[in-house]
Amino acid sequence: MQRTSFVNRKIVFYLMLIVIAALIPQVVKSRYYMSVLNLAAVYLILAAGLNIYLGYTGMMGFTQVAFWGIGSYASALGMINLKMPFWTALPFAALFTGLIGFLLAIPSMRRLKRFYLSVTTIGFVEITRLILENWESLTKGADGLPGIPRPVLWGIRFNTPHKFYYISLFFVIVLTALSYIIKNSRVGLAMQAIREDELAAEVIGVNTFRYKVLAFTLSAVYGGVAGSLYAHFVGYISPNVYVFQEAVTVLCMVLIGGSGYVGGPIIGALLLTIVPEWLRFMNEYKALVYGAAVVVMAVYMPRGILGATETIRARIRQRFFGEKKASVYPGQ
Amino acid sequence: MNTVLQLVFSGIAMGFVYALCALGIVLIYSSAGVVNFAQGSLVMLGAYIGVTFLTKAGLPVIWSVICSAIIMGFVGILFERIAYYPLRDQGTTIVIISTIGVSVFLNDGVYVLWGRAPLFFPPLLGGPPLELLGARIPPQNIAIAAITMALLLFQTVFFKRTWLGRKMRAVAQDQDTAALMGIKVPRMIDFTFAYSTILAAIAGIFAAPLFFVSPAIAQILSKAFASTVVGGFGSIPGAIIGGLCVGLTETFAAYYLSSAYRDAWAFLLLILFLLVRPQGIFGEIVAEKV
Amino acid sequence: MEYILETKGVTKRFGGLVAVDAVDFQVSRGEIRGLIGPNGSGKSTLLNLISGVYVPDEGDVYFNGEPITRLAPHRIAELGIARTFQNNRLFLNLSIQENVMVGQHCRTKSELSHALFRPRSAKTEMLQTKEKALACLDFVGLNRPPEFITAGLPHGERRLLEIARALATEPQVILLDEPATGMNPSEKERIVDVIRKIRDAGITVVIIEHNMPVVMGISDRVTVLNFGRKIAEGTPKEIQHNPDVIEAYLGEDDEEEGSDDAAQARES
Repeated sequence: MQRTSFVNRKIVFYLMLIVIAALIPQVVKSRYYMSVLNLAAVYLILAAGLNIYLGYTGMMGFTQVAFWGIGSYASALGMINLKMPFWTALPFAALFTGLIGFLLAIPSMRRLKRFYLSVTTIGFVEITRLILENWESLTKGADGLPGIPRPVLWGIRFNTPHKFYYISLFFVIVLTALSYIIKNSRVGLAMQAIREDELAAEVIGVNTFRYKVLAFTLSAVYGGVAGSLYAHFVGYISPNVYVFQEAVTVLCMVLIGGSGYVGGPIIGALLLTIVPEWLRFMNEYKALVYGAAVVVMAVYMPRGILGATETIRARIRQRFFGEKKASVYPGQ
Repeated sequence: MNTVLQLVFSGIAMGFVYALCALGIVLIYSSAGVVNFAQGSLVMLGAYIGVTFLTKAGLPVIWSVICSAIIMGFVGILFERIAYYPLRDQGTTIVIISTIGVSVFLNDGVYVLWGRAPLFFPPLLGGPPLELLGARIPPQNIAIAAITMALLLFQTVFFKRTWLGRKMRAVAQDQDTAALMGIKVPRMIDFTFAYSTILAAIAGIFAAPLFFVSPAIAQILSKAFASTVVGGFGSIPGAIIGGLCVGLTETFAAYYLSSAYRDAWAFLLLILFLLVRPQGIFGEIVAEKV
Repeated sequence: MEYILETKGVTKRFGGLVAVDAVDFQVSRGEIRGLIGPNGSGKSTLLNLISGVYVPDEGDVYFNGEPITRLAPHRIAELGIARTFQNNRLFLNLSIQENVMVGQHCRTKSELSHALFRPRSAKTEMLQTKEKALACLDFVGLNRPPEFITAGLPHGERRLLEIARALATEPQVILLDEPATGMNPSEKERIVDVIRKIRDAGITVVIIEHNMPVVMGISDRVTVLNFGRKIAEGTPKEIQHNPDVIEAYLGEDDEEEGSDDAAQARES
């Protein structure tokens, strides 16, 4: 059957991408560049989480950075204080962060007042930083938490950027696949309906409150995973990593890549972690550039690179995967 | 006794600063339907411009306030043209995002113009603290309260009695009807942004002597948001009362409970209101227009 | 006998304005009920009260004899009341098929856990949803590729799509808010056919409509609102000769649309 052969091509294509990604450590010898790629993976997961509630559900918040911090500390303290192995600490961090996200979502999700979420999350970022700085008996305060153990699996210690890369890659693949499954499920469709018109979705039978809370909780889980990876990759965390500006960096990644697209966070995170490496001179005014970029993207390219190339990509997909979408997008 | 009174006065001064920022947010929200996440950064910019007139140009306080208010009025219109006007027909989320972009841009942009070191802003009113019932009140706090109240009085008269004020109110109530009656809606929205930014400038100059002039002032945004929700989102008296509530809660909680968590109390008050009385003190439970 | 839909003394105020004033409104199973009245007479507000978008200040709404007054809109949709909006509220960046699939949401069950751990059952349900969506598009006669992005649809077809989306919720009652406004005569005919077809499928129809030939032509009974109050109810014929109704429409002769309606009412 022709259809199946197209589906197979699509699978082969994605498998090839994964194989290429897996071969990178063999080619790139520089420790520094591998560290950059690991950080890109952390940002990618944060951005993928933001994409679920901004891109799919159409709500705006700043919490990814707070969830990142909570996930980092939960995972690090889980390993140090509770003697968890990494493979327990990471799910623990993800679930703990998810729980916090759930508890924050409940009062923040008012019907038809979507911006309340943005309002509460600004305060939430601040309060998280305050707690991390002031609860010294637990977090060691502003000095930060050193000596976070590296992951160990089957006797291998993932203590170099080259080795750790495989853990990062694994979670990037798993969470991207999860984003894809969510988007194409009944639940994901309901979330996108909320993004498009919340009242119409509610009246047509979608429990909007429930899916908004779910989207937000999921993003918190993503943040928790990203935090855990970050903590165990870097080995030292402190509250001044998780600042508001990083929330804007993550926002920028989603917007530039393409909000609402599964691939958006991938493109955005890779671009914004690798390009600044070439443009070091602008590092001092990074936030200035990101701020301007956010406005420009919002005004001229609200659906990012993937949105702007929608028709071209649809044509390519039609050609190689047999999907039919190219002829029906408006304006064509 | 005198401690309590002293706290009350500094809480009120703080509260008025929050209220002015909150008022700007509410005015823009009711006329343009936009939640402005750059308001805190505009307050900060007001403080920077104010300190420039005061210390670099050596103008007296009152002229510094007036000059920076005028400049900020134009900044407000420019801001509206860049971040709101092209997106006026889009959803709320995208406008929130673009105002955030402006906010981040400004927070870092002041470093380019004024350098990274925080700037010192002298007290608005010098002289010894006033003794009142055993409490020592800095004259500056009284100045803040007095000027804010005068401003609110002026605003009430302006919106009730002048043609311009009435037109602006009409636009806030119903843009379509206002347009049908021949009111130039975009012009009125320009004015609203300009006025809100002028309020931000004044809030900035009030905040400046209480803190140093630095991008940290922009964090007033989250307190201002807490004020608007506590007072009832969209309500003008709500913004003022909400601001005072937040200012007083914060001052008392910081003194009696924990000063390390000073910035957390506003957030807790916000969450408490969202859980118990989401419509705020002055808000009615009004259905949104469909 | 028991009405499928009934309001008892519902009142809704906006500030000082009483938009709906103690309205008793009963709809029998299987009928097409017209709901007319001059602009601002409270028709849309009444629909919003029934579908749960607004909560009445006084009075109650009953569906099959059960009170539904304080239920969330999505619960009301689940019970079997669907509606369209006066100004289209479609999901513009989704395809037309996806729009209708959202309508099936309350009739399907797959949660994320199904998609993750029982992909087969989720997939089967998804396929059924897609089929059903195609059937609904077909029912209203919307012949476009299902992947067509909704933002590209012309106005007339948007109205049809909204009806298809409402039908996908498998309602017992469908509330149509001015389905024929802004349509050309051939489109109007098409929509009248669709509404008859909906009734023939056993679904009760409540229709707000300004276009008198349309509403008088298809309604079994007509209810007239003015200033938020019910002023008349009866067969189209009775309504056309009811002096109160004629006066209500003539009373607003400074408003063009209203007087047009009145003229149409007398002609038809």
